[in-house]
Amino acid sequence: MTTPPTLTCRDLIEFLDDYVAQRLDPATRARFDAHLGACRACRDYLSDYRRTIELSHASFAAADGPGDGHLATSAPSDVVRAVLAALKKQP
Amino acid sequence: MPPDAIQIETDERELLTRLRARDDRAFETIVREHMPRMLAVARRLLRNDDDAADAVQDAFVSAFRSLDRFEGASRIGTWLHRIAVNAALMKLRARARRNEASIEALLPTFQSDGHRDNPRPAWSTSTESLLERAETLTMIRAQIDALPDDHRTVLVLRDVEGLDTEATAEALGISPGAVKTRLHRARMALRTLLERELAGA
Repeated sequence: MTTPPTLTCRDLIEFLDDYVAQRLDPATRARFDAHLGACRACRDYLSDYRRTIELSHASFAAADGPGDGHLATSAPSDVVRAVLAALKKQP
Repeated sequence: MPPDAIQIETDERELLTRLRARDDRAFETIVREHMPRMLAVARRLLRNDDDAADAVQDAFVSAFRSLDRFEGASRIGTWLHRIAVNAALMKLRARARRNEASIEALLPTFQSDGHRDNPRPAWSTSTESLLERAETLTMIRAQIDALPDDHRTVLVLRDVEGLDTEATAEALGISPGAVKTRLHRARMALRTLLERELAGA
């Protein structure tokens, strides 16, 4: 049996999305976990990568809530009027 | 099926019948109810309120033209959301491309032995405290907006809108593999942009 080549930080980061989405087979996942256990820099990168995903989602989710003028929860009346007028013009 | 779902189905079927009969009130009901979410996704993709309003108008016109083909397999809201995404993407493609910086400069770099160059410690501020500050939220949205369009659209559809890989691939007319690659690169680039902003936060 041959020993799999050591996983580098580059290898780990290349497939980090698969790791986060839990798409790796158990053997590969175990190699990722072993690397992460020994590599502080990759643990930090993984943490920031996960938080980037959370922050992307949350930054817009928060903007959809009440109190933010940019992404209002109501339909602006001028746009409603324009759409209804456009629909009326349809044959 | 739970009673609520049956009620929603009945309501949607009735609304659909009225829409097909060109009932003005039904039009208005559906426009008012679904426009906010459609406008939100169009604004995220187009980064411009006027273009987003145009895209939503195009979306409604195209939706009502194809009402007869709407099978009712998905909810009306889901169907309209998909049409709004398509209308916004069409507008985006028609618009002159912005002078976009390459994403390469924002991706991590490595030494010849596979170790990452200049690793920094993980961000120290908790996600919760970052999200408490309105200016941080605005900053994050601005950094997403700064990504090149071909990567930004994938990140917005996947990580913000929550579309799956296949739906994103279909909307953008690219392969699922390309969606996966672009999403990973977009996240890494955004991580770099956020790191610059959050350093010392």
